[in-house]
Formats: sequence, structure tokens, C-alpha cells
Amino acid sequence: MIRKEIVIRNRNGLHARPAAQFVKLAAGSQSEVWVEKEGSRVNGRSIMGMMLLSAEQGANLIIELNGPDEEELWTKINELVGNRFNEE
Amino acid sequence: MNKEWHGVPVSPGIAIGKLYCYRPRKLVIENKTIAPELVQEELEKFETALAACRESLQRTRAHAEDISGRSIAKIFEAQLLLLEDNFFLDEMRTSIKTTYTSAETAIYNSMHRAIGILMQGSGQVFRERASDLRDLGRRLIGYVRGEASARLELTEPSILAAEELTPSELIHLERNHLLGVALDEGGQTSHSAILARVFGVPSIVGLKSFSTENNSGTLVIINGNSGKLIVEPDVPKVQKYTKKIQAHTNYRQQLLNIRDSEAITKDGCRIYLHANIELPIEVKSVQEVNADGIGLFRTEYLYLSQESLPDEEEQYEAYHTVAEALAPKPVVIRTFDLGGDKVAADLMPHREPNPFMGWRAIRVSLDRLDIFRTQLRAIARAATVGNVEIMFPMINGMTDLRAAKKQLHEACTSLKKQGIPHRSNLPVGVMIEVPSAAMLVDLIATETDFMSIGTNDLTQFTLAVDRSNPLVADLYQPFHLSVLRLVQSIVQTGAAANKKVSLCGELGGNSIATVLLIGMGLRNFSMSPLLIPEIKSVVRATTLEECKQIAQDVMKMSTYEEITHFLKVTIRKRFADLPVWFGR
Repeated sequence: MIRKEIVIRNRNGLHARPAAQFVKLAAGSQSEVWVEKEGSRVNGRSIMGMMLLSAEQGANLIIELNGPDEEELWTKINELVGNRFNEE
Repeated sequence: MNKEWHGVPVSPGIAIGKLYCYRPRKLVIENKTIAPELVQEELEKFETALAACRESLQRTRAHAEDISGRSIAKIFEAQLLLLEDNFFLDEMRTSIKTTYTSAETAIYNSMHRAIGILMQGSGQVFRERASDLRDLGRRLIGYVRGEASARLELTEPSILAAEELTPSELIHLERNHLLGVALDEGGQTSHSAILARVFGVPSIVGLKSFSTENNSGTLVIINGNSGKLIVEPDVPKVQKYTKKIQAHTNYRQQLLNIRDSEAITKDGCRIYLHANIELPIEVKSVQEVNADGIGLFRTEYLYLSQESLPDEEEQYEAYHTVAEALAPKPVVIRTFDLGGDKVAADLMPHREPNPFMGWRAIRVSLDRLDIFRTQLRAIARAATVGNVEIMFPMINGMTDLRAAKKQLHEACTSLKKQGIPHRSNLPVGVMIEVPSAAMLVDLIATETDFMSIGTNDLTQFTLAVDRSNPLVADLYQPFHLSVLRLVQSIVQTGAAANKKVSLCGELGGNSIATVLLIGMGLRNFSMSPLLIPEIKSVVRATTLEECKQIAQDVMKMSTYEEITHFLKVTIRKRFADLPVWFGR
């Protein structure tokens, strides 16, 4: 299991479009994906869940991955978040 | 009588018509629970509604794409994704199954909870998403009830008033029936404001309680130029505005009659009239007036109109569409001019004391290479069709010019490495809008293919006048001799270096300045497409000889007052028989 923290850097936070990109990544993997923010925990495959985290710029999220391709998925997620969801 | 309301004008034009106040009925959930034996039936009802809603959204998205391109269509994509989110939907299904709530109650509760959470967030984007959710919830409940057809419709030409309108409501309206839009809420960049501009109907937002304090059927005048609404205008008011609208229609007609004639002086000097645009959809207006090309495609709109920066594909598509539609005429794409008066609040969180001289345009691009490279790649790729040229804003000398060109070169190199089709030798130009650049035109000309004079900034920088400051705004004088001398020197230096010089500020579309500028040697103008017929009629009524004489005379005058008086009186009198003085 991987459990690591990421920081949302894109200016508008994790709104619909970035959330959609995250969900698509999660949906393409075989691992379980959980995302936590300040005690709230949502499934990383749910766009509504992700949006409801209301993760704005600067927010810290804990990503928990569990499954056969968790390493690979972590790399991808890290890249997506690091690239500010290709928005900026 | 004549009660006036003031709001924020978001789409220009004037219309007179009956008001239609749209007040969607408050959503009342009545059937709270169901009998346990009806669960299966209720679940089926839910799934059927979901499928119907999805299908309708897909159609709406396609419709939006047809009339306004992908950026508007994207608004509906988030809603579609939500309708495919099984984690969210399962919450509703479970509620029906285990607590015997009705489908509409289940939808209402889930949406309501989600909206509540989103509204707590501080970001504007999250709150806008909440309004999208409200729209989606209503639609879905409508489908469950079988009321899906009960949507907003205009049965006769009307000025539509509402508290707020969702893009999905606006996009389906009969365009011939929509005379104007007046909203209590919203801002310049709200989705509905953008759509109104695309539709070309006069629109005002931020009218506070207008839609609740007025009634359907009331006569109103909407002035999308000034942001004023007149309720129950008296006869003289109606006559006055009817005349305005009529005069405008006549004037447009007269001017369109010369659509297919070239902009050429009586003695054969060809003048090129290009258009300034912000949106790909404006290509229609450009073609309508038969412009010689696009002299300024302002790309910051792509950024300001949506919540996030357009990615490379999106930008490529916008640039490509315009280039292809205009081919083989030239299209000058100016890289982002963010900052100054075009504030992207999220990119620039700090209020600058002097934004016009601050972090803007090429300065932002050179500091945020991620943004800049994406745009350069998109432009270089789009340049494979049509006749694309690239232009950098706010260049103040050779250092930033070279830095910008280096980035363009690198963007092309990376495209080449990746084997992505692009054009690497596209013509490069700069805006001459900072006095320092105006004084270096001879040098700039050796490393660029063309220059375009931005008279708005050039005027305010030369005169040290911030025109958005009301205390000094009257000192903003584009006909100040210093500005005219600078313009003349840019034009002449450019010509001596054999480089194309264009002018794309407001001065370019001011018909009292046309002959003066031609007399100074200018041959390329760029302006709002709406002004092209007017300027063309002036060009066709003069001779190069006359223009030169007028320029000579004007450049001998010494004060702004003298020059303005001469242009306003003498030029107007000289061209009095042209239909160009409308509204002045």
C-alpha cells in the first residue's frame, strides 16, 4: 500500500476538469484509490467525491493506493498533480 | 414611466421589446417516500430518467459545439461526467432501495448536500460548479417526473429577464425571439454572458432585483452599450431609441454595399484593412465585411473566458479554425496579453499599484514559460494551414524580443523532435506600444518581419496618463502631437527597413484619423470588424495626394486642441456625404 501526501498547485484547485482527469487515471488502474483531505475520505474514482473535497490551491491531500499497479499509478498521479493538471 | 435600472453591460446593442420574466417554479418535492413493493419500479424510473437526461445533455453539448465551438461545449462536459459517476449515483440508488425514498427525493437530497458543501468553499469556481449542479438536479428531477419538456421557451420576440440563467437554458432558446438578456446576477465572464456575446444580443448582468420587481409583458429598452434598462419608456423615449436602432440598421446596410469593393484611394493607393478579434466565432463578422485579414487575434480571451488555461489542443483548435477560415488571408495571432486591465485574478493574486506598467503580457509569458511554450507550440502547429503570423505584445527592447523568439525557436525544435507537423518559419512581429520600442524600430525591424502599433498603450505611456484614472482621463489624448510624431516615425522607419507596419489600436478605427494616418505613410490598419466598412468608405473617397497634404498640415500644428478641432471640423465637413458619422 502506498500512502503519500500531495499538494494541489493549480490555481483553481481540484474543480471539475482536474477532478475528471484524476478520476480517469484512477479508473484505468486495478488498484484501490482513496483520497483524503482533513479527515474526509473519498473514492478516487468518483468525480463528485473529488469535487466535494473542495481542494483549493495549496490544499494537502493524502493519496492511498492499494493494488497490483499502485507504483505505476502513483507515478502517474504525481506527474498529473506536478503538471498542475496540464492547466497552466 | 422611464424608470431606469443600471447593471454591467456584457454584450453590446440596443433593443426595444416586451419583457419576459423567467421565474422557474420553486422545486417542491412532494412524494417523499414510496411503498416498499414499488422499489423496483422506482429504481427503473430513476435509471430511465438518468439515461434520458444523459442523452439530452449529449445533444445539448453537440448543439453548443455547432453554434459556438468547443469552449462553450465544455461547460456541459462536467455535468455529463457527474451523470456517469456511479459512486455518486449509488448513493441515490441505495437511498431508494433501503429507505424507500422516492427517486426525486433521493436526487434532491444528494444534490442538496453536494451543493451545500461546494458553497462553503471560497473559490469562485466551486461556487459556479454549485450552480451547474443545481441545474443538473432540476433537469434530472424533471425527467423523473416526465416534465422534461417544460423548459424555458420564448414564444414571441422578448427581452429575457431572470435571476440567473444556465447555459443549457440559454443555448436552446429560439434565437430570433431573443432580443436581449437582463440578469440579476452574473459577471463579465459568467457562462451566460459569454453565450450572449456569441449570440450577439444586447445583455446586461448584475441588475440585482430587476427580474423579481418587474413583470412579463412590460415594455423595456435594453442598452447593452451602456448597461441601462428603461422600464415603461414614454413615447418620446421609444421614438428616440427606435430612431437609433433604425439609423444603425440603415447605416450598416449602406456600408455593407461596399463590401466587395477594395479599400483603394481614388488615385490607386491600396490600403489594407484588417480585423481585430477575440473569439474564433467572430470570423463570421470578419467575412461579412470582407476584411483583408486578421491583424490582431487577441488570445487572452481564451484564458479569461474559462476557469482554466486552455491546453495545447484547445488552443491549436481555436487558432487552426481561424487560420483555415481566413486562408489565404493573413491571421496575426498575438500571444497572451494578460495583466493590465485584463486581469486573470487567479493567475495574478496580487493587486498591483500600477498594473499597466506591471507584470503583464510578454513579461508574464517570459516568467511563466510553461504557459508561453504551450501557446507557442499551438500557434506553430496551427500555422500549417492558412497564413499565420505571430506577434509579441509589450516588447520594450531587443532583450525581451530575443528571449521571446528563442522560446518560439525552442517550441518548434521540440515539435520537430516529436515529429509533430508545424511551421517553423512563420513571420514574427511585435506590438510597438511602449515608447522605448518606438525608439528602437530600426533595430527591431532587423530581427522581425512586421510591426503593429498599439496606439492605446503607446498614448498612455507617452503622455504618462493612466486612462482608467478618472482624475487624468481627459489628458489621454491620442491626437497629442508627441503621439502623432511617434506614430509617423514608426511608420517611416519601418518603411525604410522595408518591413510591414500596421496599426491596431483604437486610432485605427477612428474615421477622423484615417486620412491623416494614410498621409503619414500607413498602409495597414486593423480594427473591430464592425468599423471596416466605415473606414473603407473614407479610403475610397480620398486621394493619396489629399492625405499627404492633410498630414503635412496637421503635423505643423502644436496643440492637441488645435489638431482635434481640425480633424473634427474639417475632416467631417470634407467627408460629410459619407455615412460614417453615425452615433458620433
